[in-house]
Amino acid sequence: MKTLFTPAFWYQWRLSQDKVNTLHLIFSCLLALIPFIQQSPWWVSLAAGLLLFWRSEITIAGHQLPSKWLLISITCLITTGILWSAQNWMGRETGVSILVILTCVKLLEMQARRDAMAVIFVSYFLLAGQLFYSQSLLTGLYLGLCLACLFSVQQSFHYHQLTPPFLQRLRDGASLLGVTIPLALLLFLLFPRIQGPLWGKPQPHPYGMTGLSDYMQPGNISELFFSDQIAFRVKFSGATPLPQDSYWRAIVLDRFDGQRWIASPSQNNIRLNMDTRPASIAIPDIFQHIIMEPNNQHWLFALDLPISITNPDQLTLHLTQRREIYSYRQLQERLQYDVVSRSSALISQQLTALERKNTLQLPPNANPLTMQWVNNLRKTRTDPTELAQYVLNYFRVEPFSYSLSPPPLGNQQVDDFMFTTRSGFCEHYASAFVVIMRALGIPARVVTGYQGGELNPVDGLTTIRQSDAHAWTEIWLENRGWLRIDPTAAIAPNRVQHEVTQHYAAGGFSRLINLNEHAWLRKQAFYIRANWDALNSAWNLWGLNYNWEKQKAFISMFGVHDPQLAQLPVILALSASIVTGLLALILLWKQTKSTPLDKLYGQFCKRMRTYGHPRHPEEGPSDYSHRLQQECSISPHFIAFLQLYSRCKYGKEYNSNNYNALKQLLKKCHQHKTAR
Amino acid sequence: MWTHHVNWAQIKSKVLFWQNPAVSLQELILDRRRVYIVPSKTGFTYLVLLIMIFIAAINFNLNLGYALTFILATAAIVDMLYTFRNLAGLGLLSTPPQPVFAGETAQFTLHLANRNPRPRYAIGIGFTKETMQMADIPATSNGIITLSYTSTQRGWYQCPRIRLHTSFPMGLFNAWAYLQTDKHLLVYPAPEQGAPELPYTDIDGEQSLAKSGHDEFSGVRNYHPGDSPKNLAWRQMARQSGGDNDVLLSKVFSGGQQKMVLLDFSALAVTLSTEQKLSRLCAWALRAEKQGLVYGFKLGSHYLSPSNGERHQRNCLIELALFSTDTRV
Repeated sequence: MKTLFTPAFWYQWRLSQDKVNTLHLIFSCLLALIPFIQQSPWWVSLAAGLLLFWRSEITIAGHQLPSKWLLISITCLITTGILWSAQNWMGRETGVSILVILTCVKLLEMQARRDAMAVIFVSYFLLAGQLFYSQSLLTGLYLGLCLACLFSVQQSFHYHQLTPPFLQRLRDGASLLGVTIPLALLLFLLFPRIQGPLWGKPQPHPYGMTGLSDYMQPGNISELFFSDQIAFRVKFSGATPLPQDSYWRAIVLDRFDGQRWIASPSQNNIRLNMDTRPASIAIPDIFQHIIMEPNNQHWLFALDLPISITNPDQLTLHLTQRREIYSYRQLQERLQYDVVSRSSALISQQLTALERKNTLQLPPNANPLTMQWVNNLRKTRTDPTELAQYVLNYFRVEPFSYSLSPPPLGNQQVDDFMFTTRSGFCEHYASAFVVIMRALGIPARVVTGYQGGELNPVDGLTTIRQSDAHAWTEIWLENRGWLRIDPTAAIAPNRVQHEVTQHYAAGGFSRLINLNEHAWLRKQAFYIRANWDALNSAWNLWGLNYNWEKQKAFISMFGVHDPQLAQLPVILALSASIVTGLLALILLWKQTKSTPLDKLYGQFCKRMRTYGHPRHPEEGPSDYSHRLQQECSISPHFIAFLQLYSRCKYGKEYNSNNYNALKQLLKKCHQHKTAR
Repeated sequence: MWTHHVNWAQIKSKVLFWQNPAVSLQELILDRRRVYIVPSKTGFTYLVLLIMIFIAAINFNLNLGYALTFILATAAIVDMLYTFRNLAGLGLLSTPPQPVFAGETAQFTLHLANRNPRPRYAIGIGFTKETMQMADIPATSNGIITLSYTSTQRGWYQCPRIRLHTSFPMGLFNAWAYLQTDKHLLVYPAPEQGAPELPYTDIDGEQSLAKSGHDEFSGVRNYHPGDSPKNLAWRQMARQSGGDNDVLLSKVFSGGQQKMVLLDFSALAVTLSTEQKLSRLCAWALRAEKQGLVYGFKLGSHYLSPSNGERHQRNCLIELALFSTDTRV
């Protein structure tokens, strides 16, 4: 692109149309590229940024574009670098990085409008690529911003000479996006969803997912404490449990190798809805509707203890003997299910010989100090309940502390914890407690899951975040079955008894301002956050999780009973035609801007038609008034109106006084006629 | 008040899809039957892009990807309406072009009337796709565009079909319309370069050598268009009108002495081809008129008695332009 003038000319004057368009394009492209900063290697982002900066500099200063050979060598160099550093040549990250660089290089060899179109189209594709990493509400809004910008720039490249100002063009882009919304929404709601994937195996979910893992070792739950991510949301129908009773069971771990807890191989599954005892009135069953975020694991969550679960369509679920809800497939999509839980006291349970063996297993020759301590303890007491109480009390009385950053433990984990560091969090306590119980001959196991949750007053959903991850224990008592014991509660009861607003107040701004000092601010922060969460939750539920079930519910709202999948295309075609027709009618409507004066004249002519003296199409106001005077004895008001109108319209007498006078005359004409 | 009959005529008159009333009989309004619209090459590329995004959305179960696809698809539909709207409803009026000599460029003037309160952007107008001129017409205003057409041969020319084209605003669709006017272009023969001297004759028709100077002054008559300004009777005009110059008078010179030319096709050398002869006659007619001579014109069976003036010249040129060898005697 050659510039006709020296750069100084353009610094003094404003940028030419072409340059504004090019800068606009570079900016829109940048918007589309920004989300990839996190995904690409840092140096790819840096290179892309430099290329864009170079292109902007060339545009503003009016330099020549670099030669083809220079561009080819730059591209080859960076692409080689990407392939060199990539682990997987066919991986998505590699592809994205290369696409990012190619987009920037294409901007540098942009000669004609066709090249600009190519860059814009690649940017649309990049927008789609960004969705692999996030589909949150914010991403959706950002997508809208990018689209408006890209629409605007695509339009800008098609102007010739007459061009609206830049801001108007930006507005046009946004309004084009606005115009597309009704039809796009309709398509979104009614387009038949094809169950992917079309080819290949289901890929691991691309989002960086955190969550419980299928083993426990000191540290892997505490990592979650700092994660704000949502694990799942619950809607209770009927009874709501107290926060301190909200133990969301996920995984039961019963095998300890001295370092980590894992689950012994799967046992027999029990039948769903197997329980025979009737629900108690004193301790009612708890009905939960759970919306679970994908976590790449197999376990679903439910309050202690689940007794029945509705099987979501896409999964086969089992309730294991250990009262876990297990799915054979990994949970890679957001999942919704209904589950009923009952207090463990109301459930009859048996302990099989294999289970007893598993839940008494200990690593041989490990933790000798603890074993010695246990042997001493066994001499004083024999009752399992008393023993458990004693150990819990021991944690409370001795200088044990709750800490998220405890000193590291050596090979003899439990010994180190019990007698040296005496500082840890739920995993440490649960692990130590189960080891001691087993050494005492009491079957015991570790349960991981979540504890607590906060109620969002806006949408009535209780949110459980990764930071609520927890580990507790269960011991077997011959006459009572499995009994939940949370040794952490003995040390840090606060950890278990949440205050509802605690979480909201703790996040975000509170790091900048001490919200506890400002009650009003804290309240506001709470409500803003609660609203935002509710909005996000609705987005996830209705936007991202929109499927055939939801489509059915949506169509049913319009009185269609039991809609079938085959009907969907018909409904879609009909409604889309109607909406498109309306859109065409609105867009192709001839806008006529009539002045107030013309409107008055229009009213006058319309009335005259009803009175039987229509104006001939070719007549002007003065001809019309002449004819009226000759044809019939008509009230002078009519003539006066026409004469004044004629003076206002074609003379220079149009002002507010005359306008009001015309209005009055029109009224008088009307009164005159109706009085007759 | 809600009437039982929906007034379709009124609705139709309000929508650009149906025809606008033309202002005059000559004016043509581009309506739905005249505006063609198909996806452009860019549009097909866009379609491929949409399909790719759509497949990605299905394969990875991205609901936001579905949304993106649908927004982009709807944007294309809206763009189609915008493109159609950019051309539809445009009023076109072409004026008859001025005659030209062969080899000269004729100018066709096309009046574009935009009666809608929105501007029409980037409309290409031309006889062929290669010679498009771009025009913008602001809201509720008129534009004029002049199209050039290089004539090669004498005779009547039908004004070629004019093509109007737009792909504004997004370039995904090509909308075009053709305007075939009934306006004709008359092309005179090209005047011969360096034509020989005019063939002067006496009144009796014999050729003679040119006599220098004008003959005796015999009186004045009213000025006719085409009279040489050299022959204006300034003194008589001043006297007659008393200073108010509203009547032009020309001097008249006594008969036999006035120089006179007969442009006769059959008198030209037989070695010349027909077209060369026509070119020479054309050049002579122009020269005779320029010199203010009275000239007669004879072409085949057509004879125009000696005269002069713009009208006479035009008649001669028309004869030359339309001369056909079949009617040659």
